[in-house]
Amino acid sequence: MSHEVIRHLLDDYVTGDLADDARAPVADHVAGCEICRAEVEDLRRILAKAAELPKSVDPPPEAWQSIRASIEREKIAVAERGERVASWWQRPSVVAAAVLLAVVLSSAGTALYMDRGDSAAAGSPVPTATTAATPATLAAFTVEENNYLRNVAVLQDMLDQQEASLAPETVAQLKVSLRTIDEAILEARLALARDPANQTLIEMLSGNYKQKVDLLRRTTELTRGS
Amino acid sequence: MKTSAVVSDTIGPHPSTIGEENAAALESVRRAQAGDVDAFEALYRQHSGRIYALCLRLKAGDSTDATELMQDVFIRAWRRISTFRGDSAFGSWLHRLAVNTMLENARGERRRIARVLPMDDTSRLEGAARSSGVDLRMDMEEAVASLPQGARLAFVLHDVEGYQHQEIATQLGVSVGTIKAQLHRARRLLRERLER
Amino acid sequence: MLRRWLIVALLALTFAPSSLVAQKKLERRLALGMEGAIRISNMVGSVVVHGWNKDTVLVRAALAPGDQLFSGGGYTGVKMFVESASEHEPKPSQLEVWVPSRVRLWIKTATASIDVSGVDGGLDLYVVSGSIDVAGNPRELNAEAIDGDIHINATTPWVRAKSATGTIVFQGASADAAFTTVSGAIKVAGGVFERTKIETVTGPIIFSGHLDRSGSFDFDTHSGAIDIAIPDRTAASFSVVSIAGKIANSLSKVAPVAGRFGRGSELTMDTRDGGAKVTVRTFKGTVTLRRGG
Repeated sequence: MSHEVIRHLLDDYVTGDLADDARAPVADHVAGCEICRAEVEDLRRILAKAAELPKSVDPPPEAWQSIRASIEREKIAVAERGERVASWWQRPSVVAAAVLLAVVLSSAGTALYMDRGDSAAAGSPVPTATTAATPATLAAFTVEENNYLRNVAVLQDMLDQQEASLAPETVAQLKVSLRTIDEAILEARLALARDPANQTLIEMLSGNYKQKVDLLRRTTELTRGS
Repeated sequence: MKTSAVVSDTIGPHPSTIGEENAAALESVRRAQAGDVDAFEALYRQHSGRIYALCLRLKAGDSTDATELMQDVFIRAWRRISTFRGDSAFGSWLHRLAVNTMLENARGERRRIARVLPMDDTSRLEGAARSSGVDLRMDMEEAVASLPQGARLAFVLHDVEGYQHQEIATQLGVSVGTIKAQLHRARRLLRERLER
Repeated sequence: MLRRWLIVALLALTFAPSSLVAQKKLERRLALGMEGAIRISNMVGSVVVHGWNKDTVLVRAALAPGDQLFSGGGYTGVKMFVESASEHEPKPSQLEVWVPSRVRLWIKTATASIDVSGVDGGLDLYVVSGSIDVAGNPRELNAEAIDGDIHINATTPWVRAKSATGTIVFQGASADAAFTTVSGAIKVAGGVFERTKIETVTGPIIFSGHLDRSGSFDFDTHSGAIDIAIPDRTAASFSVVSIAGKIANSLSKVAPVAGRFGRGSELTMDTRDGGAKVTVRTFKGTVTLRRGG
């Protein structure tokens, strides 16, 4: 790899994001190149300083008062309306509340739901009609199911936070669509419970989850404002 | 800047599983979901330092803007706390809410031009909240505050708060490539400005 | 040019019914190379795009009162978008745009309809509840809607169309096609398909088209009915599974058999010694295989 190419890889090299087979040539080059070595050192220094920045800073002491005042006002307003301000999301009853997972977009999960990766913005499509291979066994599917649930949770959070961007009719249609998918998921899971070795059912369920994640992802992207 | 005692030594809001978050905090969440404002205040006391630090950096060191943003975040958190499903740490949920709130408020304020066009707007040197502190840290905070918006967002979220490229891309609605480019830019600019 | 537009606008105002809100008309040109890219955004109203042979972008806009049209860029990339006077209640603005026919075109709207014809480059079209209409021969086409309908009359090597509740209608030919809805119907007709994936949850699928010998075709629904009509001389291998529904086959004498544990139906058969690989899976939708045009 030439110096010009390597210069662009230094960021990933320093943060450990380089593919394994690229690390060695870059490391070799850096060892022998003054410019790149200086840049790597500077990058490390900056990242170290970033890590040293305090993660927590006390806000002004009076900040809570006005938050509290707003909350109290809303409580009164809500009480007068006679309803609890609840999320407009339909909570699917399918997923057992006992699913308590770390919400990290694992690379497997990301690959599954971002089937176009970051080519979405670059504009060049991934030239296949299907995405990742569906799991072959129930055990493998359970792992995937957890990934899907995580991604669904993250995306639903984001959509919750963007609710103002959606027209009420669209919100209503979206709820209907998600409920439709959830009912399909429920039916398929019940059938799978009775017939756990049914490969077709596993694939169908996997497909339903992908649809749900995809719908949430698309809606999040479409409605985050132009 | 007075640093609070709660300084995490892991990079970023890698969410802990519920098992790690202590039982008392979970209890506060449940009570807050039921409408208990005092319980919500306990959550505020626990998390506001972290959120305020993030807001301060997202708002380029302007403490007035940062305070307003933080208040906005907690008011939204109160409204939406019933949507918190307990499948992530409450702090992470709050953190994501802070980033989203900032983005939504920015949409309302600025012209859309900044969102349609690539994130390379002009830089601005903001007055930063300062107190006596180690010189090294002040320089770094100042330098980060002086970065152009897009670069600053990427840098704060990735290099300071520890989000992954993909997570940031998803939340900001851009490609991973854009995030990497902004990071590259941020680090080069910081390199220049810290040398001065 | 401007004067002519003013006259047209004045005349339009003169003859327009008084209920019509006065729109601001304007026209702009920008240079853009054939290999360039253009991004257009207009939330409410319409976006109509035509491909042409010049390395220029021409936009004619009829803007709602208070709306503004921003545009800019260079020879390799142009952006234009309508900014609403009121974010909460945007009024319709109409954009009609001529672009170099080979550009990469990206359009995003909320309820505005999108209509693209004669653009051969790559198309990325996004609506929430507007409709999308495409005609021509784009190099690749990606169309996404939440509520909106998508109509494609095109020959394109690569196409993806997604809607949740809207209908997708595809007429044309493609090598690599995937269509997805939740409850919307999907109708696919026409030419040569090599690789196709069509899936819904509850929406019906109606497919009548040529299946390329070497191709693979996947149809998946949860409860949506699947109707596949194949031309006479098609050589294909069918694998159909319905967990709890029925299969009707009039393509051959092979009858469906009961599925696992005696529930549902399955059908495996070849026409003309096999060829195109057709896989149909549904949880409880009815599947109909029959002869088509």
